[in-house]
Amino acid sequence: MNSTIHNESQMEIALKQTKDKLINNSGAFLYLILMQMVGYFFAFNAGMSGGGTDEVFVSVRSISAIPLHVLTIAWILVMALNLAGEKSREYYLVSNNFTAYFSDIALIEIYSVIGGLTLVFAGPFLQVLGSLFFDNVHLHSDFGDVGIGNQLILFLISTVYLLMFGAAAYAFGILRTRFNLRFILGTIGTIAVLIAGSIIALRIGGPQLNFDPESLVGFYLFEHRPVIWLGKVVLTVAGLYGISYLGIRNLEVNE
Amino acid sequence: MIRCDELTKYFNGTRALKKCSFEITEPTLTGVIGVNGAGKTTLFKSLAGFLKPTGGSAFVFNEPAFQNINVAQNVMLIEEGMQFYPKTSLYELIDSYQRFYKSYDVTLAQGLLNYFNLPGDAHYNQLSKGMASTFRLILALAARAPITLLDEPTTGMDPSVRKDVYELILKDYIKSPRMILISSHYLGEMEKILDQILLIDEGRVLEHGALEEFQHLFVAIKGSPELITPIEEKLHVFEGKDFGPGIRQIVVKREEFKNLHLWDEVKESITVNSISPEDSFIYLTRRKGGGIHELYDS
Repeated sequence: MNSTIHNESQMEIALKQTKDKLINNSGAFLYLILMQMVGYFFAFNAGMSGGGTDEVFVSVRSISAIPLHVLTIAWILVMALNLAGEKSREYYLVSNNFTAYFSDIALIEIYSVIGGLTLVFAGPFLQVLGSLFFDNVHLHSDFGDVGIGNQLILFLISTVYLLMFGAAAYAFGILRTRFNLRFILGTIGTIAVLIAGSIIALRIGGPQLNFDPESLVGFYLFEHRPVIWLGKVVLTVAGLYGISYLGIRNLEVNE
Repeated sequence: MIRCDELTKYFNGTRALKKCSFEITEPTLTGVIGVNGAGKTTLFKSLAGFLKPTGGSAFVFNEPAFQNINVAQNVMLIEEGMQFYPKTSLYELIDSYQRFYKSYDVTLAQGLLNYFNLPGDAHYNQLSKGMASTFRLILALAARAPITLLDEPTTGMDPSVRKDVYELILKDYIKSPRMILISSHYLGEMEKILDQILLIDEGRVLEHGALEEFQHLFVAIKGSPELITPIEEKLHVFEGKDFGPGIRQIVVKREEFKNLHLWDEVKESITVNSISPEDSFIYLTRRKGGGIHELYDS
């Protein structure tokens, strides 16, 4: 046979695939910029109060970085769902489930790092933007007077949270791709069981039985012991990646 | 090397392939022929490692094909439903493919783009059906993969382009011999370039062999009804039709007719002709219940 038989390793192919996906999904960074511009817009319009006499009017505006964070999270959710949903393109190139999974994970990590980096600069950037429109701009203590160490921690925290959201969306997307209608029915069924279970628990346990959704967020957000916090997020991300891998492991390509 | 051992595939209880067995060991141009729904695309996807067999196995280079990276980098599959990144130009797609297929011939791909007047900076989604088919074929041939699977490569093409395309496949095969499998339900237009035929019907391999063997599978016997009717009663007739009151023609398997040892008795009174591979394909895959003639004559 004249054609040469090639035997590149899975890792070599996975790295090529990561590069290829980065090139073909380069629009993701444009979407990030657009989302964050919308985030900055909402940050400036989050709240305002003012007052004074006829001669002097004092306007106090609080600029919140929350819309920026929310929209960056929305961005990574969409990107990860996209990666999980568009599974058949790469298979017509050289691919198998492992290389597809590896390159998706690598891309989610790259997106998280870029997203985290942009959020680190959000505080100073808001200050610069604010000074264009207002006479006095005071940065919140969360942003002001912080050294490089704090910036690094802020970057790490933003990146890890983005990674967690990305991994969750990816796991959701892979399960949806893998199980199609069964996944949707399963989700509806789970919600129905949870609601029914809550009603029954409430009837049995009485009104003192309550569930506070904040406690779920607090599990990560209000954890002040760094090592424990890191353990929680690493285990969560690993668990979500594990679910994704189990979902993609024997996935067939048939669209 | 390609080998299928009783390969079976079901989709939600519907059978696509049933105990499909065959082997290709040498570089050949094989036509995979079958009616719609015969299982051609499922077979190709199984060989490319996209589908997990429900039963049996598909081996490529002596390794199970499903999700095997060694298989994936040596098999090139194109089909109508294959997807590309929507905002990528044809040039960029060729660039992507050459990163993955190490023997990729970019010069050939660009030359063919020019020859077929395909705009390299256009997006795949902007192409007409025929142009998209031509582009997929260019991608596949330039990959120079040891196993090239072309699923209905001429879908939507003009007759003149189709002729060109078959010539192109033959030229490319002569220049770089490899295992090329082409699926189609139009055997007539590609029989000139094929070495082998793999006939699939209802998920099973009906025939696999050289094109010549296929050409000699059936004979059309024509003569007076007095001579034809006794033959008709003894053999399985694939088609029978009357040409006026005194002439009847039947199509039977050559081997079965030979086994009757009637030739010496009737050779003066009947004519026996070979039939085209295309017609052989139709007779082999025709549904039960007789042909159109029987439907109207009954």
